[in-house]
Amino acid sequence: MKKQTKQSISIALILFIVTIIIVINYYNKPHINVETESADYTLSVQELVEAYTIDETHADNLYSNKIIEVTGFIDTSYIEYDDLVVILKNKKQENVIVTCRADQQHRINDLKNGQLISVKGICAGYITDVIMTDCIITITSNKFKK
Amino acid sequence: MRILFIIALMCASTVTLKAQKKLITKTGYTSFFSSAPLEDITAVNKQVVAVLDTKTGNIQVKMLMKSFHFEKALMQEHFNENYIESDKFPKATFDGFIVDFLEIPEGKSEHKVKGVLNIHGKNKNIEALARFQKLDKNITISGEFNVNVRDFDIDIPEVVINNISQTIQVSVYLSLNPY
Repeated sequence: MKKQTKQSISIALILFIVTIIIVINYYNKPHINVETESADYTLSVQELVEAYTIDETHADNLYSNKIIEVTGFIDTSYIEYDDLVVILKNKKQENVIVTCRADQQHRINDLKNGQLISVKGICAGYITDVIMTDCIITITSNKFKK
Repeated sequence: MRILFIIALMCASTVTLKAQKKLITKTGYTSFFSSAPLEDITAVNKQVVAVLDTKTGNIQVKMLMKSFHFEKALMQEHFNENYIESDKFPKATFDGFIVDFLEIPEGKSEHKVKGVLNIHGKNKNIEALARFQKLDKNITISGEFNVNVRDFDIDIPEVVINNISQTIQVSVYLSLNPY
């Protein structure tokens, strides 16, 4: 076999393998890691809920599917379907329902009702409350709601 | 006369309270399963809002499509952007009732549930047998039903026809407590 033909086959094979690797990596690309990504928006529970109750479409355009960091007082926290769920209380009826990442389950021991905390996660939108998914607890404070 | 009026008022308010007995969950569970020749796909939503009126048997369910979590990020992306178009149609709803409803008895029971399912902006009447379990003030509802993606104008391109099934199995589990 000519040297040139051998070289062409080798290049084609390498290109084929590289393409396969790229396709597999693209197919198996990981979910967004909220821990390493910085937040697109940082705001309070009141600001977030108000944005959704005033104009849901506009708020969706701003926050939906974005990483947001939200600070507010805990109304209640519990484990459901093996996930840590935290309800952040707003002054009015609508709250922020935070579902945490599976590795955050143990953080329930750090949380107390009325405590001021910050969570970072993906905003999914609004039903009766604002919904956040894939969250991590970023700050737990010693401040409590009076 | 005055006492009679007070008693009548108390009776009326009791009736009103009974008529408004609603149970709610904001963290209900819904999953769907697609079985196709090349792969099986499961997605889970643990933030389903549901309200059951125990006096009328009416059931309302709402969920955000972006709350569905897939094992693979790419599948989740395609689901939201290409198939369900969740920016345009962010919610799925079910507005239904328990057929021939009298009451939900204590313990386990089965009831037929009928209603309108709205996904991707399209309505479809569905009917399914649901399992109920009443324990003190808590009622859980669970059930499974199939939906055809064509009924909801969801286009599955030919190229992924072996990856995504036309019929999707939906499972629901709702643990409802007094409002």
